[in-house]
Order: sequence, then C-alpha cells, then structure tokens
Amino acid sequence: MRTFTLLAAVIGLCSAGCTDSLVGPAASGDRAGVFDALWQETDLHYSFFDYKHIDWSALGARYRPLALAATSDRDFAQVLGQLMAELRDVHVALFPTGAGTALRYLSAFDTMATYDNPRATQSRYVPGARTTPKGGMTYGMIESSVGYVRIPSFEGNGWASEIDEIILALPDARSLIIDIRSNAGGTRAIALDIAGRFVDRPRTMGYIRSRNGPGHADFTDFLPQTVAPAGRHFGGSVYVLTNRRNYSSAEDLVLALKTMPAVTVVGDTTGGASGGPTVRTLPNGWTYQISEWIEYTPDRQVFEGIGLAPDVMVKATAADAQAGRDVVLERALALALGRPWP
Amino acid sequence: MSAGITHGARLDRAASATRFAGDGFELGLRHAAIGKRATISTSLRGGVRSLAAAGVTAGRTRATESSGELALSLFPASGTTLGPITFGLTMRAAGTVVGHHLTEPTTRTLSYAFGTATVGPSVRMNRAIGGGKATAQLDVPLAGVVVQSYSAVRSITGLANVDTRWTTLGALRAGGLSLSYEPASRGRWGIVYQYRLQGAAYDATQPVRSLTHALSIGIVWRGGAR
Repeated sequence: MRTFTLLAAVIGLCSAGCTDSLVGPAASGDRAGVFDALWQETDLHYSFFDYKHIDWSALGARYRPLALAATSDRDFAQVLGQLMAELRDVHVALFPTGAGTALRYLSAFDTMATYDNPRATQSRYVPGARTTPKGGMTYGMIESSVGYVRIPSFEGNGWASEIDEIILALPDARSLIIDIRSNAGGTRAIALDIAGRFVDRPRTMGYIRSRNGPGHADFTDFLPQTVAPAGRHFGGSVYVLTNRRNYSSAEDLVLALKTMPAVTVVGDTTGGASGGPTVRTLPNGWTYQISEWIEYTPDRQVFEGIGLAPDVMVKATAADAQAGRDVVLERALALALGRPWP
Repeated sequence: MSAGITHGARLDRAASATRFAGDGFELGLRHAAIGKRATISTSLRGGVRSLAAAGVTAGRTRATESSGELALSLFPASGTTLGPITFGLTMRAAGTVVGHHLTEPTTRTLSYAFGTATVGPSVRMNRAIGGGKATAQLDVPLAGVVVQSYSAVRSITGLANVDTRWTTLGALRAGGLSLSYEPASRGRWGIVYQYRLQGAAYDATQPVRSLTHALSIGIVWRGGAR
C-alpha cells in the first residue's frame, strides 16, 4: 500500500508539472503571438466590422509588419493602439501594463467644445446644491416646482439608490431636470436602476444583438432590453439634458427614460457608443477592450457613431458660455414651467 | 467520500489565447450498487482551482476555475471482482466556469462556461496488491453534447450567447484515467487512495484544451451483505 501511495504521489506531482505544456504554450511577450492574438480575437468578437465597412484583414496585413518592427514595448503598444483606433470606437482601448498608459480612441466629440460647465451652472442656477453621500449626484431646486439632478458619471457600483433620497429631499418638485451632459457612461446597471425610478411599468427600451460566431455578420437574435420600475417612483415630468459627450450607459439612461411619454430630452445629440465592451487578456499580460454587441433603439435603429437625437435641440455657444448662461438648462426650465422661449 | 488536491491547466480560446494553470481542491462522492449481473457506479465531484497565466510577467489577470461532474458507469458484475479486464459504459456530465479576474480598466470578473455530456466505453481492471485491491479505469467518450459560451457570460445576453452542439470523437477527444487503491480492512469502513488524470481537447472556432490531475483520499463504507 505504501508503495502504491508513493507511486501515485510521484506520478501525480511530476506529471502535473510536466504536462501543462500539452495544453498549450506558455504565455510570452513574443510580439507576433501577441499581435496575432489581438487581431484574431478582435476578428472573432468585434461587433461593428460590417456596420462600419472595416476591412480587418487589410488592416492586419498593414499593421503586422509595423508591429513586428517595433523596437520597444512602448512602440509596439503604440502600433497596436493605432490598429485598434482604426475601429473608430470609443469603447475600444488597449491597456499595455508596464509599457505606457491606456491607449484609447478619441472621437471628434471628445475634443469639440460643449460649453458645458457644471460648476458655473450650479453656481448660477442651483446655488444651494448638495451632493449625495457617495458623491454620485448633485441636486437642488431651481424654481419652486422644478428640481435639478446632475449625474456626471455612472462609474462604480451600489450608489443608484441615492436617487431615492433626492426624490425625498425635493418634495415640492413637480418637474425634475436630470443633467447628464458629458456623462461618458460607466456601469449600465446603475443607469437602468436610476431610470427605474421614472418608469411606471416594465418597458422595452431597445434591443441588443451580440456576436456569436466567427463571421462578421454572426449575431444573436434581437434581445429585448427592458427597464423596470425600481425604488421610489417619481411621477412628474422629466427633462434630460444631453450632449455629444454622452456615451454608452449614459445613452442607455436616455433610451430607458424615453420610453416614458412624460420625459423630454433637451440639448445636443449624444455621442453614439453602444457596443457593450468586453475586456480580454493578451498573451503578454496586457489587456484590451472591444465592443461585442450592437445596441438598437426601440424601432431597431443602430445609433453607434450617430447618437440619440434630443426631442428639443439646443446647442450652447461660446457667447452663451462667456455670458455665464446655460441655455440648455434654461430651455428645459422654460419647458418645465410652460414659459415661452425666445 | 473523498477529498483531494488537484492541479489543472486550461487553454480556452473563447476567453484568452493564454494558458492558465494552477492548484486547488476537490470533494467527491461515489456510490457503487453491486448486483448479480451488473455494477452501477455513480460519482459526483466538484472542485475549485486558482489559476494564473503561465509565463506572463506583466499581466495581473488571474482566474478561478469551478468545475463539477456527475458520472455513471455500468459494468458487468465481474467488473468488481479481482480478475481480468472488463468493459463497460460511462456517461458523464461535466461543467466548468472560469472566472477571469481583471484589474484593467476596472476591477471586474468575466466568466466563461464550458460543459460536456458524453457517453463512451470504459475499461476496468482490478488486481490484488499488498492485501488490498487496486483498480484502474480508463474512460474514452465517443459522442456527446458540448456547451460553450462564445464570449463571457453576461446577464444582458443570457444564454443567447451560449453555443450547444453535438460532438463526436472527431471534435472532442477526451479521456480519463483513474488509479485507486483500497487497503485491506476487516470492517465496513475502509480507506481509498486515488489518482485521477483527465484531459480534453475540443476543436472548434475557439478550441479548448484542459488537463487535470487529482490526488485524493477517501473513506469507504461497505453496506449490504459481505
């Protein structure tokens, strides 16, 4: 028996160490392997090749020699970053651990002027503004019957329910202005949890089709996306302020709120980033992020790169900003109070 | 009932081009119903392993592999007695979920699922060694069903992203070898030592390779007439 136990232990421990390589090669910094993994996995999972008319094979052939000719990890990362930027997708990013900072695609909307100045807006229009305990939202009253909530981001977890405290703290608000301008997204669940305070029943806010096969046109069926009531309900009219720097989860909030007839979107069109990004690990340990689904509006229109148009278009100008005016907020306020707008 | 240590290596292209490997533990339950004509063995096993990307120095991605399986083997009655090689049939349902714990751009876990339900022949041999009983069993599945998530499992897409397909030896080459030893004991209680090796190679758009070693010790209770 002792012999058997010893034999089994030796076989087990030795073979465990010796046989891992049968499963596949150990990860390495081999640049050809890293490039090929990035190219192939993106080919298998990225969702907008056909929609954006991207010839991924041609891009791979063009960038591979450049990647292999890189003389340092930093240069190599730059080439990979340029390849991924060809996808023209703000959800795409490369995180080259130890070889520089994250490389992200910047759209034209990321650098254009929005004249959105939260501090100036709050100082002028919401002087007594307060911030929620976890810092996710700033709120106050603008007029005797109009409340204001600023949500600058949906990053993080576990703070969506603070909107209940805001609804409680603004008992006189018959209308609520939800300012998400320049909110670039974050955790989708938070956006939908907040939206749940403003819907009366489960409503279909749009659809998703996710890549599920090697062909660039291989997708699941249209999967309905639903926003459901959650937390303390606000039944008054709602005005959502948007601009071109609204992406991803911020656009999900807009889609969810627009299912309600009492919601009006005011401002500029959103940025149009709808890809449901996933993160993957490369053989050298770097990680990258790509879109893997296509999101649709309730009438099944793609809004990637296009954005969601507001109900009432208002574009702020440099002159407005210099005058200290927030014309988008003023327009929403006029709508809420039924005032004429010049 | 047994408990043991395991070592596993896994390459799942649905998740990564990188091989992940590491150690863990498992718990198992096995029941053998010995009849006059046949013996039916049922085993239930589950375990967890902590994996790291082999060879990577820069990366911080780690993974946790959770797996479980239910196996049912059918042998003629002679398969339990000391004697020649006997042939039987094994049906096995196994599932694995690998959670990749990422730190960039934010801390998150993405889970990938892979499961099989297979049937195939088994070969068993019993020998008397040192007063106890040594058993070797080899299982080779011939056909079955493979379930694989195309990408990370997400609540938003649900099971729509999970692919299920029939498979045969052409696409799924797998096998399991177990060596066990039960020292002689007089009462109903005994001890069993086991070494188990399982491997699988699934050829698909996103292939999967896995290899697991397990070394376990268990207690045996022999019910019924002796």
